[in-house]
Amino acid sequence: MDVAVGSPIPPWSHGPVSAEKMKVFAAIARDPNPIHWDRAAVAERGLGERLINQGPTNLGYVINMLLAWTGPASLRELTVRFTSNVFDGDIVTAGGVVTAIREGRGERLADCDVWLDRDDGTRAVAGSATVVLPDEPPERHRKQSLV
Amino acid sequence: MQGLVGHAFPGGSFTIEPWENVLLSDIMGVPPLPDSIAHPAYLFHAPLAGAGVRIADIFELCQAESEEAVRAGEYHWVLHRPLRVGATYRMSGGFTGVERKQGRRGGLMDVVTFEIDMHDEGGELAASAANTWIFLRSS
Repeated sequence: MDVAVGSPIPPWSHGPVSAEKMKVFAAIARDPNPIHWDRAAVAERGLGERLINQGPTNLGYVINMLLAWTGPASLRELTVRFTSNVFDGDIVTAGGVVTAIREGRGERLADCDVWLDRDDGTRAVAGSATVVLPDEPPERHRKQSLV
Repeated sequence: MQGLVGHAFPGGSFTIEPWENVLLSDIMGVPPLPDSIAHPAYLFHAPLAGAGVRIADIFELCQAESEEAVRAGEYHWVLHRPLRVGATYRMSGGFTGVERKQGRRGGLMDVVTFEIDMHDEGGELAASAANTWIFLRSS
């Protein structure tokens, strides 16, 4: 796989972010915070009128970008901060850039800066990741279509 | 709050069920990954569930003043090998850091870190998740 420091990671877009999926994740993760499933609770807290996506889901979009780029078993490390909320109805795009290429435990690794941006340009997630670089680009796993 | 450091979670195990991986992958916006690889987003809720602690328990242990007074800080996840659908992982971990800070607007906050290791059925460390949550304090 031909990658160099400064190479951009192919972006991964998703949306509109689904309120129904927030509810399913709240149930799976036993997340009691109503900002993920009750619009009235969001409004009462002065956070707007749309449900707020769970942080791990926002992180999941970044992971999707990395796995589409280097393959489903390639993720080794991820460190992120959550810098802004993502709301239901948003379109989001994960992006990244290679910052270093190195060897580790017999694997060819790429360190990357990664992020997730809302369609209004607000950065929702920022951080870094390490992935194993395959010899050949993987067959890109399908993403769900944008509306 | 400093007494939290060293507090261990009960511990236990978590099995990545195929049906749940389908749902979690759909939530993340992708079909299930090939070769029985589970979506890495499991590193949020699986360690907690397997360690025998709920989000609500963390809130209570950290004396959260309300749900809206809690923010996600930094997440640091390490995967030594892909997580597998159908596999059972043993979890161990607890609180590893508490730091009282003053925010830019003068408000107080406790920055709390908890770390959970996931060992596979052969006893090998498969993954680790260290999550930092911020608990805003009114006084």
